[in-house]
Amino acid sequence: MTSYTDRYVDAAMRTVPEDSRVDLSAELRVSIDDAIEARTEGGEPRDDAERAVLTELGDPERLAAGYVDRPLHLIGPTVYLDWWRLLRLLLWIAVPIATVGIVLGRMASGAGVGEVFGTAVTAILTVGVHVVFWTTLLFVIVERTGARSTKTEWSVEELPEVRASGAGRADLVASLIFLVIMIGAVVWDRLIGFVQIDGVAVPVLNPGLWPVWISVLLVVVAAEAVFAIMLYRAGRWTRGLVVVNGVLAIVAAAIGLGLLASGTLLNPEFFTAVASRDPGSVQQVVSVGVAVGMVVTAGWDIVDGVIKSGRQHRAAK
Amino acid sequence: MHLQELRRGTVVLGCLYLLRDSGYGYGLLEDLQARGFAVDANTLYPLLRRLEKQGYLASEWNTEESRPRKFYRTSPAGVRLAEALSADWRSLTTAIESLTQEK
Repeated sequence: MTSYTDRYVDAAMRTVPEDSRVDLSAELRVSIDDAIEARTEGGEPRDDAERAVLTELGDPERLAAGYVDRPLHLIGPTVYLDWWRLLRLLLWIAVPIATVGIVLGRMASGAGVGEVFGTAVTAILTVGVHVVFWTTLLFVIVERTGARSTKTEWSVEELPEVRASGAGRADLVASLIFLVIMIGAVVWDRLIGFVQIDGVAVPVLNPGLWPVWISVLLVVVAAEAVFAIMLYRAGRWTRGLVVVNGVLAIVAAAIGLGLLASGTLLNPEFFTAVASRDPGSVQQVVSVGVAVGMVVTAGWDIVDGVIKSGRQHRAAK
Repeated sequence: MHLQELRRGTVVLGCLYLLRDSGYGYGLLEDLQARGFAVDANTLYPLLRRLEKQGYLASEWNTEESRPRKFYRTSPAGVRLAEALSADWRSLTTAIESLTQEK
């Protein structure tokens, strides 16, 4: 059985480069022996003295790191912010693009909804993990190879504009993503179908809506997108923006309700396929539900804009 | 934590002064502690290495005694650093005294 001292010196020297190992181990051993001797001269038994001295020296790898000036961290304060900002940027760019690409690929090869969803989740996780890993690895290397000299100077120009809550980048992104999903759902419904009978799509929305009314929908969606961008550029809810928001909501709801009332929004075949016993009344119930949903959504949209602009005015006072 | 930071700076000055006469690891540790510098072995030994690497200490192995020991001595650059640190220390002492005397 090797003594604790031998084990300690061995453990400490393991992480020290070859050329300084002999010198360091000799010096460390002498220092330990000196300390033990000072204690045993005072009457302490050797084993206890050895244990006390080594405990006081602490974790041998920590001591060795102090000897060779090795940083005991992956990414230090100098480059941490750079790493964090780059990581955020890359995640925002890479993950959505990769996910959309993979999802489109799966859809093109004719997979079902569940499978595409599962693939999307996997894609998000995989791409995310890769981005985090490789970015972190890059910065660990930067940290270890002279990070001190690559510290970027911060200038006043880098300060972002002050944006009221509700008009920030997150809201813009959320609005645009929602619009894209809506268009995607409409297209999917027509081409692939949420419900399929014998492999043929049964659309929920009336196929007669294509192409005229769907173009109208596209125009409305485009207007909403433009509005979202305008809101972001303005940075806050102005009275004009509240009005535009309200008009858009009312127009969208009006079109939707009009189509619903004339019976041309929903596809009657869908209901015959799904509720074969009494498609008529099921369609009526669903129509009423959709109508209520549209009114509530439009109302919420308008009220949300008013509240946010009101909150801003109060905050500005 | 703040106490630690205060002490860390002063140990360097203590070493540089004491090592104007040659000294070795454990002996220096006892000396510093006897003179009132609270310092641990696992801080002092890496510090000696670092100061040597930076050129403020010179070292040589003394093989005369039964136990060969590595002796350190303050280099000329180290002496200059010690003087600069002392000057700083004196001005700090004056600043603190003037603060503590203001009621």
